[in-house]
Amino acid sequence: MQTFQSKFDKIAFSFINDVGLPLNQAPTALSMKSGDFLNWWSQPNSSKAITTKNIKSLAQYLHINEDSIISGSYDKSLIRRRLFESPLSLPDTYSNNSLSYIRSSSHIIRYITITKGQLFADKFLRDLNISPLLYENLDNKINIKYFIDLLDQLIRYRFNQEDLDIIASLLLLGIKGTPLHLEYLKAKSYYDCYCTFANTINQLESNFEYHADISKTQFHLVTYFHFDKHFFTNEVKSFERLLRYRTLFLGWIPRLSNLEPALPKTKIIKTQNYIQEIHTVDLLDQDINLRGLKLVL
Amino acid sequence: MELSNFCQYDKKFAFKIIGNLIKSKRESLHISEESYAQHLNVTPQEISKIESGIRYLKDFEFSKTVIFLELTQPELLEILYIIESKYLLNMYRALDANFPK
Repeated sequence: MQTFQSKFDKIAFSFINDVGLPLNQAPTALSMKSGDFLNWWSQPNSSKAITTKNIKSLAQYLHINEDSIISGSYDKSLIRRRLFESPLSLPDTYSNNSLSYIRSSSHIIRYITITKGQLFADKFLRDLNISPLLYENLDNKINIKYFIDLLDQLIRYRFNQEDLDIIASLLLLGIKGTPLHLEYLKAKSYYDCYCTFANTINQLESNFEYHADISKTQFHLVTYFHFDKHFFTNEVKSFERLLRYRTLFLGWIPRLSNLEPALPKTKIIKTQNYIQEIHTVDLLDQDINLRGLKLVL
Repeated sequence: MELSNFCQYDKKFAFKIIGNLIKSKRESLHISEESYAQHLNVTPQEISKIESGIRYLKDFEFSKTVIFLELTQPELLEILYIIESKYLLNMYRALDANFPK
């Protein structure tokens, strides 16, 4: 049995053996010179070579949470897929029923990047075992559990409910200049805007079943979330957070067409099998510009 | 783009967001607080305050910052959009009965 000079040497040695990190990748992964790595690898008990800095580098290389390496709670299968398949591989917990496009959360990551910096945003994603590169292609897909975890993690990272409300109103940051945004810019009225929404919602996500009914006077949207088809969190607070986010998100959809926000009247019905949201916007009210706002953008 | 564009809604929040952007941009360009402070002719302590939104930038400091940190029009528009969205949210929270409780 090997004895080690420090706990980090032991952690790194066990980790490399366990996940099968190819030795030609290991020096880069650990931010070490090849010679130093080979010296340590051939006699790992002879010196203290590994520090927290190397463990951090290893986590960054694999796009995983560094604490999981130290505690040994890492997802071995995910790491092996990242090494031998694709760096963009998703954890199992986020890959089943992947019915959301990454574009539906790209504004959240953009907001974090603008307000906290790229390094912070990358670490934020790594803590969810997600590669920041996933957001390079907005057509990548993921499931709703990721979205729920993303909102929960914002709270853990000390963003408050007001921040989450702001984030719900910032879809534009994630889709600006994309074909989806251009579709919205063609809309000149609330009616056109909601028609665009009804026609393109599946480009954001399809975890919820959407039934839209649009007349000249009203936009009526009924959504269903079936528990038997999707992941469901038992954390009531997490799900309520999601539903609040969705209501505000919907209210800010007209901003994509340079119209004022229009918060829907929302009714939520929970049954044993599904959650139903009923959103109604009276379009006539929206056409009368009572507030007289002059928006900059 | 002038500083007044950002401050027309919520000055405190505007400077907080501008400070965040400055900090993240400065760090991504590997510019130290000291170099930035020297450029603005202020102390590094003041830079910390500017970046946390406590000390408000003056117009000429903002102009110098935009050039020094290569802040782009799209970046500035993004933060303006955030500031404006927060203002709208607060207004709707106060005035609109449909705002989620």
